[in-house]
Amino acid sequence: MDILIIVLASILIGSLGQIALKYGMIRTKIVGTREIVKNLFKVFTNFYILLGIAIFAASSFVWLYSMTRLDISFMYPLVSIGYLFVTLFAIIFLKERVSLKRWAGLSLIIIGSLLIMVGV
Amino acid sequence: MSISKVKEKGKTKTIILVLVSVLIISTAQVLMKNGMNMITLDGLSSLLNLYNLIKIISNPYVLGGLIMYSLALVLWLGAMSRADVSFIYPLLSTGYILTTIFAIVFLSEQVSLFRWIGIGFIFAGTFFIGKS
Repeated sequence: MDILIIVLASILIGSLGQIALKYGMIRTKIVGTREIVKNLFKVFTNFYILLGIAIFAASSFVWLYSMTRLDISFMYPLVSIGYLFVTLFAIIFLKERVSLKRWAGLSLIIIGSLLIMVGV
Repeated sequence: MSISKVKEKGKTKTIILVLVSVLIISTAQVLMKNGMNMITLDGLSSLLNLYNLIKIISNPYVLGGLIMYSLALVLWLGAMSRADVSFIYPLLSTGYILTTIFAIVFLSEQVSLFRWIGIGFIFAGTFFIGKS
């Protein structure tokens, strides 16, 4: 399989992990780092947070695999494709609202990622 | 203090929280890449072999990177509980510049002008998002 597709798959899976984590944090109703540290047990026994971590683990191994084939200065900026994935998932699953300015920013990010992918 | 001022203060704190985790993540990426440069894997299916997973995790650079990641994860959860993902996720892009500089300095990677321009676009994009 083409290594570029594998990197993009890792980023897509990672974005799903983000959404699971965010959804889990909404469910725990815990706000702020201090509250998280106080409620570590509650945070790390939440189903969606555990699911998010499991998805992250899977995504990380695919990411590490890609590292054996590609430069990190090529791979890492491509994580920005995740902005698009996360925003789309946030709209669909979390009902977040996205302004026109954010869409403009996302467009620049997409152009940048494409330049990196095409430019070698 | 007005409600908007309280919100503004919270926003600054969220940004600082994310930037600290970005520094940790960039360092972790370079450490993991350095570790993976020492490992040979046949194909993607090699990840289904437990022996290979242990080989990856037991590399001290990869392990160190993963530990730093879990540290950053706690900071991320803190940031995520304060703001929308679609707001904080773009802040991650300051890490692209940092990771690229680290890759040049510590891993002697060659970065083309094209790649820098791409990173520039990404950074400009996040600026827009930060202002939205």
